[in-house]
Amino acid sequence: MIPTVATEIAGYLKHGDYAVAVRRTLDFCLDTGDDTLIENAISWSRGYHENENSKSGKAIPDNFISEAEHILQQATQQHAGISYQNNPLISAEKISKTYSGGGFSLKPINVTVNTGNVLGVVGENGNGKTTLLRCLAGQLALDNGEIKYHLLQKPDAYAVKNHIAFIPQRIPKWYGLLKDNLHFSASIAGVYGAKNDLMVNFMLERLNLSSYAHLTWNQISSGYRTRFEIARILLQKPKLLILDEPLANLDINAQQTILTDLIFMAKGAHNPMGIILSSQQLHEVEKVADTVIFIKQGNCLYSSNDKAEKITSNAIEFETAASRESIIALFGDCNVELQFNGGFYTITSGVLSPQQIISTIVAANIAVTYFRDITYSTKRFF
Amino acid sequence: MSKRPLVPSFLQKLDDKLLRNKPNTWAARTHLVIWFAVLLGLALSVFCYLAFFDAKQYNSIEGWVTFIGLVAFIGFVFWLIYLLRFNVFKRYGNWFMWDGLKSFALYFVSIGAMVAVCFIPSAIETYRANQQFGNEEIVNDINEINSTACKLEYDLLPLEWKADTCKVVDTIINISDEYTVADTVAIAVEVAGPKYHKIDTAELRTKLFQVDSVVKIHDSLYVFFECPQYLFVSSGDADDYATQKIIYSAEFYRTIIRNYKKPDRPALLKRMEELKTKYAASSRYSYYDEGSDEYTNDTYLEKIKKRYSLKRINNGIDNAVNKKYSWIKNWDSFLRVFYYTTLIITLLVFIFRHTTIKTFFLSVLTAVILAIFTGLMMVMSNGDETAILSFMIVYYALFACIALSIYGASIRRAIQGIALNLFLFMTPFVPLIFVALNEAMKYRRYYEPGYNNQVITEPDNTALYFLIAEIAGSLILLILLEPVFRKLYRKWYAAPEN
Repeated sequence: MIPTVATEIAGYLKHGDYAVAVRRTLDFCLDTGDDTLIENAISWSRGYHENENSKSGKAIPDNFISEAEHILQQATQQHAGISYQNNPLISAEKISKTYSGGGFSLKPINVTVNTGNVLGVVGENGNGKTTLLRCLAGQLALDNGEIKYHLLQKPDAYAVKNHIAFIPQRIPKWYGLLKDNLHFSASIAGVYGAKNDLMVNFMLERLNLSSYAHLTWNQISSGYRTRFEIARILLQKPKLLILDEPLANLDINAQQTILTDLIFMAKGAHNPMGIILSSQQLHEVEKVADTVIFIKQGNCLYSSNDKAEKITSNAIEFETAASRESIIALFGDCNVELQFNGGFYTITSGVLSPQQIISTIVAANIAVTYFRDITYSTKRFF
Repeated sequence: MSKRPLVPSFLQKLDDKLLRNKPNTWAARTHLVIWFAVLLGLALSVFCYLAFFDAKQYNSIEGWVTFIGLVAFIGFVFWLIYLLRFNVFKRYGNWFMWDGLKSFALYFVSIGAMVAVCFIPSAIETYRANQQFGNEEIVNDINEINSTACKLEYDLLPLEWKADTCKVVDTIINISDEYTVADTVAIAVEVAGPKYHKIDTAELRTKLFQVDSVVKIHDSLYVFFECPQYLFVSSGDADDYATQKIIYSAEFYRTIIRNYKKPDRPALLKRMEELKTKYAASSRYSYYDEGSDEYTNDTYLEKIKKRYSLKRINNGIDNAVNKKYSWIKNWDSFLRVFYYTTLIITLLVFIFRHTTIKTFFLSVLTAVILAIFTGLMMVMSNGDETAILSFMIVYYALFACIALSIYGASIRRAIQGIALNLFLFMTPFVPLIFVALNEAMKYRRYYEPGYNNQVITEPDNTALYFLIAEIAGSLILLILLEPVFRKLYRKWYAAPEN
C-alpha cells in the first residue's frame, strides 16, 4: 500500500503535476512523524512555492526533482506499517430537533461516520443542513435521539467540543496576525515549543498560505479566510471535522483542492479524522464523500448508503442545442422520460443504462457539450 | 510575530515562547502589561519627581490621580482589546487543573499593575516631602517659630490663665443643676468666681489629661487652669513620627513668658525670615487651609500671625506634614482602594472571559434591576441597613442555588449563566456582608428600649472582624474558583443551546 503513495507521487512528478506532488509529499512525510524529514519537506515545498510566486519563468527550482526523490526515498523507508484505523467515530440515532420559536423541525435521522470517512450533507437552503451539523457538533440540544462519540468515554459537553471542530458558514473574524492565531491554535491543542513551529509551518505550506501568514484577517480574501480557518482547525487536531458550506467562498480550483486536501488529511496517519460537510456543490461533494445524505424540509430523503434499495432507474443529464422532439425521437419505444430544467436535459430510464443512453445520443450525431451520470446523485432530488 | 514598539527583544522572545508553550499565560498578556506599567511608572515617577519639587506647596493630587487614572483606563481598554482576541476556554482548548486560578491571578496582576500606576504621584509626593523635610526638623522648626514669635511679641501676649472649678459626682442626673454656688471653696472663688459645675469621673479623667494645670481642693473639687494660646503655628500630626514633640502653650509660658528676657531682636527677625522662606506656601490653598493673611481680626493671635505671615507658614507646614505621612497614616486605606478596585475589575474580566457576551450584560442588568428593586423595598418599608444586607444574603443564596443547578442541566440556559456570574461576583464579599449584618444588628440593639443603661463590657473588635471577613472572602473565592466556579462554567458554557 505504501509504495503506492510513493509511486503516485512519482507519477505526479513525472507528468509535471508538481503542485499535487508537493501536497502529497508533505502529507506523506507528516505521516512518518519524523520532524527532520517534515522540515526538509517544508523547506523543499517552500522553494517550490517561492519559485512559483517569483515568476522567474522556470516551472520548478533547481534540484527540485532530485530533492523530491531523496525525500520520498526517506519517507518510504520510515513509512512502513503506518496507516490509520477505520474506527467508528460518531453515530447519531434518530436525532431530531424542533426550534421553539419557529415551525421548522429536523425529523429523526441516523448518521454514522468512521475515521477517515467523509459524509456529505446536501439539500436546498433552509432545509435543515446546518441544524443537523450543529446538533452533531453538540451546539444544539436534541429533542430526541442520541449521539455517541465512540472515542470518548462519558464525555461532558466541553470534551465533546474539544473533540470536534465546527467551521460555520460565516467564519468569525480573527484578530491579530494570522500566524499568531495558528500558533495559538496549535498550542491550545497541546502542540508546544519546536513542534508548534513545525506544525504551523507545515500547515502553512500544506495549504499554500505561507506568503499570507504575516497578514491580518482584513488583508486576505474570503477564500483565503476559509483556508486559514481550515488550517487553524486542523492544527487543533480534531477527531471529527464538521464544515458548513466550506466551498461557498472558494473558486472552482480551490474547491477541488480543498476537498481533496481534506480527504488526504482525513485518511492520514498523523491525525486521522472523520469529516462531515454540507454544500450546494453536489458534484464536488459526491466526488469525495463516502456517504451523501439529502435533506429536504427536515427529512432525510436519500442516503447513498442505501442507494441499492431506492434507485430503480438510471439517469443522465446533458446539455445540447438539439430540440426536445429530436431527442425523444431517438429513443422511440424505450420508455424514457425527458425533462428540461432550462439548462440541461435529464433523461431517466428504467431499462437503458447510462452508457446506452449517451451512446444513442452520440450515435445520432447530436452535439453534446456536457453530460453526467446522475443515477446515484442527489441531483435527481433537486 | 510583529515587532511591537517599546518592547525589548528579551520580552519579544518571552512573548514568542509563551505563545508556543503557555497559551493561557500568553493570552493574558501580563508580561506586556507589567512592562508597559513599569515604563509608564518610571516616566511618571520622573515627571512627578520634577513636578513635586517643593513639598510645602499645595498639589492637587486628586487631579493627578484622575489624570493618571484616565491614562490607566486607556491602557486597560487596550489590554482588553488584546485579551479578548484569544481565549483558550472559549476555544475549547486542552483543559488543565489550576488554569482558572492561574488566569485569575494573571488578570489580577495585570489589572493591579494598571491600578498601581495611579498611586505613583502620591508616592512620589511623599518621597519628595520626606527628602525635603526631616521628621525632627519640622518639629524643631515649629517649636522655634512659636518660641520666636513669643519672644518677639511678648508685649502683645496675654498672661492670665483661665480657671474652671468642677465638682466631681458619680453620675450627672440633672443637667440644669450644672452651676452651683460654692462659698466654702475659698481658693476656687478667688480664681474662678463663686461657681462650679459638675462633672462625672469620666470627664475628670479627660480634663486631667488635657488641662495645663490643676489644683485639687479635695477629692471631689478641682480647679482646672488653661494657659493662653501661644501656639501660632502647629500641625496635628507633625510630631507623631518624631522623637521631639511640639511644645505647647503652657511650656512656653514656663520657659519664655514667666521669666521673660529681652531678646536679640534683629537676630530673631532674621531667623524668622529664614523660616518663612523655608515654610511659607506661596499658594493660598493647603490641605488644611487656614485662609490668607489678608482678612484678620484684631486678636493678638491674628495680629502676630499677620505680622510674620504665620498662616502661610502654617499652610506650608501642613502641606509638608500631610505629604510626608500620608502613606504611613493611610496605608490601609490605600491598600483597600487598590485591592478592591483590582478585585472588582478582575472579577468582571474573569466572568467576561468565561461567559457569553449576552449573558454578561444580562448579569449586569440583573444586578442593576435588583438594586433598584431593593431600594424601592427599603423606601416603602422604611427598612434599615440590616434589611438591605439581609436582602443581599437572600440574593446570594438564590444565585448559588440556581448556579449549582447547572450540574444537573443538559442545555445552556441564560438564567443559570446570569446566576453563576452573580454567584461568583458576590462570593468574596459574602463574609463582609455577614459581618456588616451582625454589626448592624448589634448597633440596632443599643437603641432598643432598656439598653441605654447597660454597660458595654465587650471590647470593640469591629475592625478586626471586618479584616477577617475581607481575608476570608478572598480565600473562599480562591478555594472555590477552580473546583466549583470553573467547573460550573465549563459545564454551562459548553452545553448545547436550545
